[in-house]
Amino acid sequence: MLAYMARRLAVSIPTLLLISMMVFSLQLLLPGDPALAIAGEERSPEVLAAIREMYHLNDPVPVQYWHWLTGVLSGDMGQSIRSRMPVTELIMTKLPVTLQLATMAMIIALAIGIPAGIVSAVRKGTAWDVGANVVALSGISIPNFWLGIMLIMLVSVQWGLLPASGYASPLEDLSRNLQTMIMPAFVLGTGIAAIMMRHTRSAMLSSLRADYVRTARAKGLSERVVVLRHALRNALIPVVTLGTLQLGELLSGAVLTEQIFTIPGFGKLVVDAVFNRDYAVVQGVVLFTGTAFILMNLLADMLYFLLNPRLRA
Amino acid sequence: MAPSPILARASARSDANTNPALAAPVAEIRDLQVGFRTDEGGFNVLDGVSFTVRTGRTLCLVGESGCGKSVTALSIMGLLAPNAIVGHGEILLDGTNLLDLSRKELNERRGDRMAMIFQEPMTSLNPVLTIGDQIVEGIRRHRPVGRAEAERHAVEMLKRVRIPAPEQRMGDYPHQLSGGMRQRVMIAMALANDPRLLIADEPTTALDVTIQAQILDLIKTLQDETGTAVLLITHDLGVVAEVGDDVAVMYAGRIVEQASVTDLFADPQHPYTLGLLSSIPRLDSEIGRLPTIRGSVPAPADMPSGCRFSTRCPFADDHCRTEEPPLADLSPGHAVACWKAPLEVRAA
Repeated sequence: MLAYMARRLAVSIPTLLLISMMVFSLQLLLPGDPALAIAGEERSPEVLAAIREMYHLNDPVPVQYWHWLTGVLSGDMGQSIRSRMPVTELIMTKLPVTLQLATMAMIIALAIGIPAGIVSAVRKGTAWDVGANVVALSGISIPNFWLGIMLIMLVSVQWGLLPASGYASPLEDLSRNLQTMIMPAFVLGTGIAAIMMRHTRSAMLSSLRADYVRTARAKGLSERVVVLRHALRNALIPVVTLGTLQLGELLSGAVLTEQIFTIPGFGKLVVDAVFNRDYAVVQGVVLFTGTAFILMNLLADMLYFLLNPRLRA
Repeated sequence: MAPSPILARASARSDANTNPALAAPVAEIRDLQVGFRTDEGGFNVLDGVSFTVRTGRTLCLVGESGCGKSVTALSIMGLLAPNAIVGHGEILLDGTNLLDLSRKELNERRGDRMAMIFQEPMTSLNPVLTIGDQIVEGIRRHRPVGRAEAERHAVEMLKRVRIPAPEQRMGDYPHQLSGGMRQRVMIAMALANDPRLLIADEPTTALDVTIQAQILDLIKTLQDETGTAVLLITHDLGVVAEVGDDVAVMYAGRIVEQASVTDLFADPQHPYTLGLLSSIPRLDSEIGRLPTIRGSVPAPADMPSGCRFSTRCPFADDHCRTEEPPLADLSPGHAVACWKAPLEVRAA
């Protein structure tokens, strides 16, 4: 297990380096002079020269990359051009908001997706199955932004049940926080719930057909035990892996959802940074997301390993 | 005709069993008809199957692939696919018709009074649960015992099926065991609650030849210890001679001949049984082509009228092709479904 993890980690390093190069070249590819963007209104040649000197902009590209990379590795991802705040700090203050959103979305996705998948597999071909599939297909097909806007119109504007915006930190006002987070979490969670449902269903269908399920029935176990203990235990292995991979998906899905519900999270940070040409922030966020994605993959691999006794040996 | 080695073994075995008819019936299958519903329509797989399995005795159900042996076993256990329909008939276990029971009542008997071992030991155990958990679960389902007590019993069962270091094996997952060991675990699991009836569906087909003999031996020994009635499904007449007391030969969803093992090998009456016996390779015969039964088993959806074997039978005449022969006693304990019985011509 340890050797396996070490190997997987070693394989991740080149991937991470590649991401860092792509992230770094973003600013080279984007139109406009970064020095101009940093200088803002003060565009005297002396100031620009000073800025170029300060940010190593006169150095050859590989040297610039090296400066940037060593900085990143020591936790310094530069400064936001707009707010002058360190990028690391910006990410750290916004991240918990998005993590909360993603966690809530995941809980919703699991709470809907897995039971729906089980029911539609066990009741295959019945109205339950058809219903669950129709809902799942809608969940996959309906874009998040449309569902978000519809929910705001219905739940917030028409019925006045939940606030459409006005995020509050859970530490300040938990009830307000949950009220503002539940709708975006639902919007974000439904798409994933649909994917989870489809995968749970197909994994359950194949494990319900397995010989060991017949053995379990031959022991006289109740249908509930057969389904939940024998079939589901096996079906969950691929589903859990998929769920972990979807966590990475949630981080990117949060971008739109946070924008719609004006939640000051990670997604909003990156959108604002793009509009403001705040390169350092964009770089930081993309690099961070990429790393998180790779870590999620690693976690998925490890979970698969832990859940599957055949691999553990 | 020199006595075949198989026949010699069969008579040696059956002589050891006395008073076969006095043994109490455990399971009685009466006129069982089972069909399947498909998109193209329905067809029958079993048509009027009847036989009795008795305490302490082994009934072998023999026939080619697809003749309905496994369907018969699965019907008894109530494990048929959802699209199967039991048309008519009775499956009596100690006098109770299993077909009349609710799912809950059936579950109380499955794994307790009747148990089953399957053909594929590699896939019949749950890969994510330990051997111990899987045996213990079956014990606790039917016995009011605590976990520790059930675990002790499980270890005891593993010992009885000759698994070395049973305490250590309890925590193993199925993939850590060989096929033969897994089949032993299946047997331990099946016998844990001391069933009245054990169904073994080709329990050795997937195993190495050397392991096959060990497993058959084990089933036989445990049966002698417990007096369990065994229904052994096989396509291998060597296995029948080895462990069987009684035989029912199945062809295309019907039983065509039923007898004690000794009688069947000594005096086969149905042309199909004759065909099966003559297609066993023999060491003392001349080198040449192995005799086969010409043609193939008719598809369930396309059964010939009259005797189902008539399309492949060398003795068939118009009577055979129009009217279905009933399974009738030829001598006490030996029944045949053939218009030509008793056969006067003996196949070479």
